Amino acid sequence: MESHSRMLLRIAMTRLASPADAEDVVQDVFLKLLTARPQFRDDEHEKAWLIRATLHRACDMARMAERRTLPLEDAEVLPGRELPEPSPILSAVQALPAKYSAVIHLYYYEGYSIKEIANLLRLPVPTVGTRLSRGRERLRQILKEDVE
Amino acid sequence: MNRQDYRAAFDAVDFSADFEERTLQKLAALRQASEKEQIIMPMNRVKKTALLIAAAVALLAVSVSAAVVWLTPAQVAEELDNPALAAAFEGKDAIVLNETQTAGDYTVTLGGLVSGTGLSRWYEDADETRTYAVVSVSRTDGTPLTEDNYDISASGTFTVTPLVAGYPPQSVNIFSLDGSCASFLQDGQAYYLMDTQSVEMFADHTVYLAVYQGFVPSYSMFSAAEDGTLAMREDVVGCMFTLPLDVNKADPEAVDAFFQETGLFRELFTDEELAAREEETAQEDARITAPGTYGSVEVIEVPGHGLVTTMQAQAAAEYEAFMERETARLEQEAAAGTLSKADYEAAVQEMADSLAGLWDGTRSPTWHANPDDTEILQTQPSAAALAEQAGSMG
Repeated sequence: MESHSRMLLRIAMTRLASPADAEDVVQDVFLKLLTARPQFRDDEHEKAWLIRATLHRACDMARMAERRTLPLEDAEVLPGRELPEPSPILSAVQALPAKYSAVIHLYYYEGYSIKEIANLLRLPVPTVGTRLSRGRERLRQILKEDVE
Repeated sequence: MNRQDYRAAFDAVDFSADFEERTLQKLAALRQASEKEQIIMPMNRVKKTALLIAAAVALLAVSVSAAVVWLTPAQVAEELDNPALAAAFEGKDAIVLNETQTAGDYTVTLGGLVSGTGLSRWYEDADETRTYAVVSVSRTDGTPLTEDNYDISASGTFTVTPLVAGYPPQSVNIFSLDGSCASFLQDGQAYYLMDTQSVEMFADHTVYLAVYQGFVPSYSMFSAAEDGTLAMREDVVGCMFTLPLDVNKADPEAVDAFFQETGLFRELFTDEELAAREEETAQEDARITAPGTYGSVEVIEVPGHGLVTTMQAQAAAEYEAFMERETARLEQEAAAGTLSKADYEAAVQEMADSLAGLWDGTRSPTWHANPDDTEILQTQPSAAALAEQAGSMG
């Protein structure tokens, strides 16, 4: 878990603007791993489970965050948890629909191939390709620059 | 933005200084709660024992009366971590079917169907209505399905897709309806949860759910009758269910919009019509004996490949460039040990076959974001090849 924790935090950040929420997701996945004790065939199987669990939990957290409509002036920033200025790329990825940001991140950061992403997310290969293509186009529109 | 820029943006993401401490506190709290439950348990022992006995009796009754215990659609959705969809499958709008057919050595059951908004784990557009169906598969002879004898991945052993009478199978299916299919094995059975754009818009036609061994639906797997009815070809292992949709939910305007947005071909052909079109194409090809312009198609001569259209030549050139880059990338992966020799050779052979198909016209390029993107350039059987295949099966 420790070796994958940063990877999971980055994955959670593709869905959540709040680093605190992203950390909560990683904690929840960690606790789920400890309590559910799933059986893994090998390291790759475990990694795939962790990635899927993180994506699911992050989506749930994002939905809950949308329902929490707290005026900015009422929000309390805890010491040591001040929000850093997000990079344009990070913000752009967070603005993508979940189905695109997951594929974009697994492809660009984790370096998975389309086939590997399809296996990992239990999706057809053409679906992954389409989502990568459309996600790239959306990023290009948001960032107003070419996406290679 | 390139991969380096992307990585740099996410490399800056890190845990807060007190994350570890907070996590340990949470773990400690969890442990305390667990210990408290153990203290409370003896006080409720009598009640709990009674419950356990009742549960055991119920389980025994189930195991006597049914050799196989299927997961319900709601349970399948729960298993796939989608409680909202599980609730929908138990709601009044869900259609419980539990229809069973055989497909080769397998028994396929369509458990249930529901449509709704905001239920997809992956499609977050709250305004879009999507259709969900649960299918379960088992071996008819009772042999448990395992990862060793069954490919549970989507489009592995089976592909699950909606099809619609009156429309080409390659135009209206799980792929064109922006769908996905989550799947898993449990207790020797395979479960599939299909999630697509809502098929209710097609409800004034017969809408099928096909479960078959194969990939993207096409005329090579499905034939059309004159009235638009679709049927699975005899050599395809699979089965088709008819979905009991409410005709009042049909939306012809949405169907028009679907075809307009996707640009997919709308006209359905019977085998006779496909054969006639193939004959027309063959006659046209026979008239092409030299480079030139034929109608709106420009034909050129390429050394080693004979007469080809300019589009074919362009697609093949792009693909050759892609092959060179992709082969180099795969070589690196193989050298690094992240790709087996067998997988490397299979991937290279697949690309070589695709390139040959582009040159001889049996394959055509499919989606790709931009010509420089090596990883998502693919090919598919060309319309001419599909027509020929359908004609030879007719």
